Amino acid sequence: MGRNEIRLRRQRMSSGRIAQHRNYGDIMARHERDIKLKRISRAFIYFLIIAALILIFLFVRRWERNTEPKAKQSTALVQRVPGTSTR
Amino acid sequence: MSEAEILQEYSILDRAKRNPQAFGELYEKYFDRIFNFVYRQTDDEDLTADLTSQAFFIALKNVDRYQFRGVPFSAWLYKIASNEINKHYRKQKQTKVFSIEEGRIRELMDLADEEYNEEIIHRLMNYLKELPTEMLQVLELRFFEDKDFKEIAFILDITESGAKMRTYRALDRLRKNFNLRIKYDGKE
Repeated sequence: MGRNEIRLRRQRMSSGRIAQHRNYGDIMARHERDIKLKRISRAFIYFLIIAALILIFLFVRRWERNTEPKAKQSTALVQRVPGTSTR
Repeated sequence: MSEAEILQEYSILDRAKRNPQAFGELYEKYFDRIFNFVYRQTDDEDLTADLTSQAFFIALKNVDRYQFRGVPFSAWLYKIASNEINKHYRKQKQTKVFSIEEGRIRELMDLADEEYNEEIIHRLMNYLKELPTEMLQVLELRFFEDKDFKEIAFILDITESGAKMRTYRALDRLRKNFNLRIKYDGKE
């Protein structure tokens, strides 16, 4: 067997027969479905990005709140140490 | 293709970017040609209908990205169709089929002033079987679709000189094996 299969066609396909497969309406319908799907997926991606940003923001705020009191405590300690002989 | 025709197609494409319905004009114009091109490489009517439809769908989907590159719009359609055919064969892992019309071979033989008979057709079929796919693609576009080398290069994503070289090599072998006088441009 060769590299490719070569077939000889005795007759050309008629344009009437080809016309049976012509359906621009179907292409348009597929195109519209595709556009809708693209819009939905784009909206979903935006939603995911916004949700991720909100989560990051909340996480950062929480982390800041947790670290804040510790910082106050440590400054208070620093103030007390040198001030032992104030009297 | 005249410059006026290219400009007219360009204006249709411009409209199609805003209104996909306008693309229908180009669909009607090129459907038969693309169908025949695909059918010649599949020999399966239903598969051809699917691949042709897919090619037009992809063209419509990407019409806003289309840029004029010195070749007619139809070359872009052929390129998409060719990619779809290749994708199909890669997925199915089948031997590539080339189905050629006897009538066209007869026309080419007449142009080359050669006598047409069953024996020479049989030998030609065997010869074509052994040709690499790339050469067959070039020959198909050159002698069955009447494309110039610039378009062939664009469709197959090769250089113009590469397209010429492939055609020249295939025809050279043809001349040696068959004593045919088919010339480079298929006109003589």
